[in-house]
Amino acid sequence: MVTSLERIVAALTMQEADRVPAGPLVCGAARRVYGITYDKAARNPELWARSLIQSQKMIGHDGFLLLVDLSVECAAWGQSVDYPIESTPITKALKGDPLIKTTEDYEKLEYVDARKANRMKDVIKIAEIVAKEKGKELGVMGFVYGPAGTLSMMRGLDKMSIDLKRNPSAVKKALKVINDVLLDYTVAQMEAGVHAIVLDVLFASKFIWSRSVYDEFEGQFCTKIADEVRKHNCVVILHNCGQATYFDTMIKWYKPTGISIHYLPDGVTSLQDLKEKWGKQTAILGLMDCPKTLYMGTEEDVIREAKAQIEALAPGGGFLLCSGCEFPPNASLLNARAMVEACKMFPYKKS
Amino acid sequence: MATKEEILAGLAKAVIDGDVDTAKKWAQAAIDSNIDAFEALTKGCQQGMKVMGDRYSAGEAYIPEIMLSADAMYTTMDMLRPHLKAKAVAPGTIVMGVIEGDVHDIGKNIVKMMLEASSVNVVDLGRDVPIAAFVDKVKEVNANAIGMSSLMTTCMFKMKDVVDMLVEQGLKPKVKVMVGGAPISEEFAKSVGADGYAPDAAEAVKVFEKLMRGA
Repeated sequence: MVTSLERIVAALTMQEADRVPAGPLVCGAARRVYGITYDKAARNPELWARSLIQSQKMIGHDGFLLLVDLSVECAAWGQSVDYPIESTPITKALKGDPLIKTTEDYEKLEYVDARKANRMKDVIKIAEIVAKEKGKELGVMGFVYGPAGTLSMMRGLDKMSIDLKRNPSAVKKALKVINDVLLDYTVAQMEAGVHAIVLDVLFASKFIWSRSVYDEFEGQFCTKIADEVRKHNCVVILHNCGQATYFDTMIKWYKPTGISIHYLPDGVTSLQDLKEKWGKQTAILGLMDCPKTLYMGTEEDVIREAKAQIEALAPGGGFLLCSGCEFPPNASLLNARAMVEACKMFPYKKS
Repeated sequence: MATKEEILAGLAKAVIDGDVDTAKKWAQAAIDSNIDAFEALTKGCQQGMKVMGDRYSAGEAYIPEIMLSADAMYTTMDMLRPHLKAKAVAPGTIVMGVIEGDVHDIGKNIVKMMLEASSVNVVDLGRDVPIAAFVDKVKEVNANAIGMSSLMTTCMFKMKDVVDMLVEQGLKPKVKVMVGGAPISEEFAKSVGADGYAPDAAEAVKVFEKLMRGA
């Protein structure tokens, strides 16, 4: 009997186990199995962890992603966060209350202890609970939003994008401090027992930053986090749900075991092309369409899309059927279950 | 003394380069040379912004460059507007905003810049805009269209409430509705009763123009 963890390891190391692993990335949606509102679950690590575990029992996926939301990291510096009752928590920097109000504020960011920091400590607790209870049989993936993304949650991407052109040294000073804290946060999650760290590097996308800006304002800092993950014998997985992502740049800086995507990368025209161009250099996680298929679609739609992806990307290993981004928190959980069913329906074809 | 063509070209280039100081110099030169302010706006700074919009859609320019160009465009527009001889006839008025519950506005802001670069009169309600606020503003400014965006599946379905309210108040089909944002698709747009969907800013301008032509 192959365990979920063995199934994931096989796929990540370009081997075929019994079937393709299923990872609907059920995070915020998990709380619904207990009927807990988003605002309560996101601030209670015990409830969040129990929700993840319980939802996995219902859905049957092969691993957990410990993403709560993208405002966990910025909260460590005191960025205020809004907690809607039934939607994803969000930094108030996007509601006109950024922690970094002027370019001078970049240089005021100081080192904080990730293990004690507001919200980060909650995710570390979630990692401890889930890894302890489920880590022997299921994949447990920690999550870290990269330094550029974290900084944008304290300033706003629009202002930060102007600042990095007009005041690059101030922005870099802040990024260095943030990266040091994220490094500690990564280590804390690994010590809590996760098998992999999913590093969100959203800005390595053609519709956000150029490759050279990415190199200068995230790659050169964040590469240290990936190195640290490998030193701990954990797995580096990247997540980038942006359009036209830079696989070359991401592989250059992070040497990931897998890359999780929603859209085809820059320069790739089809699933077959993706397998051919990048399938030997990295495992692929994705690319189930979150809004179109998982949120608006039926179970039949899910199975149809999953079948096409499994046929194109799974042969020879190196593919995990995942949602392209977090499973929509308000989508039907039956669609997450349909992803698992699809993986069972379309096993590897033995040659 | 620079010629009119040199001033307009200089203004457009400064916006493309995102060079606010140079853009200000060319805008002042346009004012000092008595160049028609509307021409300086449309053939100078807005032309530069259109070039940047096309480059962004083609993956040849990125958010930092777009933001710098927008800064230069808005700075020069502020300088030139007081010199407009008569109120220019805009191709239409659109009320825009990020739907209630969502605060991700960078995409909406880029669409706004590109519409303004095409001389469209944009009334920006910002982010986390309540359903009724869209409809109230449409009535207040007698707008031709509403543009709504969302980045979150937990909020995007509220766009239908805006469309329903327009219908209830007898404002459709006169007021056209456009929607966009990362999770939005053509199918979703149709499902909420929107008249148009645009996957990016350049397309949004085309969709708006098409809707205004009644196509």
